[in-house]
Amino acid sequence: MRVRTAAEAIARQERKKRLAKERERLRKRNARKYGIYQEIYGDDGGDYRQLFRFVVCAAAFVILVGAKLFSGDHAAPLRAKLSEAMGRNMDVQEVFSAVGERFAGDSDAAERIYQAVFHPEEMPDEIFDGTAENADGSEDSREFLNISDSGMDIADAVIPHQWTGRLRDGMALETLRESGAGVEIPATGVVPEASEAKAGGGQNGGTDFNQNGDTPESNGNQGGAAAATDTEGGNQGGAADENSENPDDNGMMIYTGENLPERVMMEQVILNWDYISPVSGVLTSPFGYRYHPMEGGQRFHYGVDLAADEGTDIVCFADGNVTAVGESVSYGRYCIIAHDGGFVTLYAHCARVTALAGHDVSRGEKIAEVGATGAATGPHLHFELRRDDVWLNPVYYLSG
Amino acid sequence: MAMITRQAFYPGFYPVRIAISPGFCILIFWFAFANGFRALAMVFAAAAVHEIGHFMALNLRGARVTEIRFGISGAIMTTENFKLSYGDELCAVLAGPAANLAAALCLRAAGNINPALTGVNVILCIFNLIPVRTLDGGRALELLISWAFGPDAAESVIRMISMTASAALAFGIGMMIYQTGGSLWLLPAMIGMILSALKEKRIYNS
Repeated sequence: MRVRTAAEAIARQERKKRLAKERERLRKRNARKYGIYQEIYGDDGGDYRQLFRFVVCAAAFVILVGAKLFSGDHAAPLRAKLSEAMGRNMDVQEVFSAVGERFAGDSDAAERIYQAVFHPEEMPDEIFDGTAENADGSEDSREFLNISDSGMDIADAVIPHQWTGRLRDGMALETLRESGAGVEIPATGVVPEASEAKAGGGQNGGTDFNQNGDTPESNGNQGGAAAATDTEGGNQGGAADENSENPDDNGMMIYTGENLPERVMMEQVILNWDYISPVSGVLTSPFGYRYHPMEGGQRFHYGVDLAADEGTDIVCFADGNVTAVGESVSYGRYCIIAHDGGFVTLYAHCARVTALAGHDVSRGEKIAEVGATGAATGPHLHFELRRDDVWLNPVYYLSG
Repeated sequence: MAMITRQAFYPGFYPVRIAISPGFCILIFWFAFANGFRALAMVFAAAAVHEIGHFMALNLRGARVTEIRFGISGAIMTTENFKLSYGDELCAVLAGPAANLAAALCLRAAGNINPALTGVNVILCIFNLIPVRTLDGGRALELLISWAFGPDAAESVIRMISMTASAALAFGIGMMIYQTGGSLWLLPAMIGMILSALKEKRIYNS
């Protein structure tokens, strides 16, 4: 038995390596001579496929980055549209439920399947009742499955049948896109015609009554995802309004005035002239703070939301003069009317405005029709009342 | 990402490789982002039922499943046993949709407390039966025709049917995207169907 020294062992290893390399080199040279691809590269071309994939991905990356960098302003509407498309999704849970119910023999559900897929915003009207039970009074057992991911305590919120299963699970996109930027408008009240982009995309289009850059409108009219529903680009809210909470839950909060935003007054002001409710509908969102489940905070709603069927007549609150008729991304089609004493009213989300700017209108005269233009998921009137530059709570002047 | 798990099924324990591709992760997160994790969980549950159906049918017929791969086009189960007869493989292929159907029926019989779960099972069952070559329906059709008329006849028939079905499905998904004004998480499915149709066309023409 021979004992090898370390030096010998190392020398043997070196020699082995050298010979192996030599052999490999010779093999490759021979292979090249005879053109044998596999011998040279040692594989079957799978590397090329991966390389091809890499090139395609790299090219896509370069093209997209280039497009983003060099398109500049031109891309803004495209980006808005894309953002809107990304945010708008069919409510798959509603689709699943409708299919499941059809399978269980409920033949009405066939209609609902079609609606849920293609026209989620036209879901039936039961939600306007604000009730939590199903039509036949049975409790909706799906509620217990819908403890919101957003951490909001929904047990207190009254959630109508149509809204269960639609608890803003997919609202991450919406919150990411929400911006508080407002658009300034001149004091004359003539507002520049904003782009036609629908709600979901252009969040930065909130028009403002005043010039100071405050953004009450974008806050209030983005219809902050209060309680269980959301509004933006969302077909998910059904024909619901921005606030699903039972009005009784938070409509009667007493404000001490300490936490109100600037230029807001909660106390009732006596109006010296006759007035009338602009539309008879369900008060779905009152004036004041409403809990925003996504942001975890409160947002101030500068008007009231009155839900009504699409096309319902909106009448003028009181005698006055139409100072502005316009369209904005968040307000949709709106109309601003000035009354005696510095009072001004705003009617937003109209389907169409029939009043003409500059004309006098009288109390009760039709000025617009209820719609869901701008940042709204369903047809309602967003009604604001202010005196000079202080927002008042319109609820005191509404009836029915 | 790959794991080895051991399955306690007839004819005994054997390792199964589970591979998850990044494309799959992107897909599920996109879906969850758009539709919420609850919807995702429901789809997972139905998909699990579907795969369990396949798995059990395969094992009961004596085939070993070597790998389950989750890719951007869904889950693909690979067996090592090539000795499956037409009938056996047909059973295995149809077992997936059948499992979904059975689940839907059970849920319905249990009072349909969660119609969404029932619905998702029904949807998966119907979707998988669409006669596209990569889906269970197409594979089952291919096996049936092969069984009755031989593989050559099956090949030409399935090419045509798969191509038209893929194109139709791609068009349908496109319409859904267009009509809802969004739902972009459907895009990978639509692109997959278009590619499938194109692949068939190339084979067909060559």
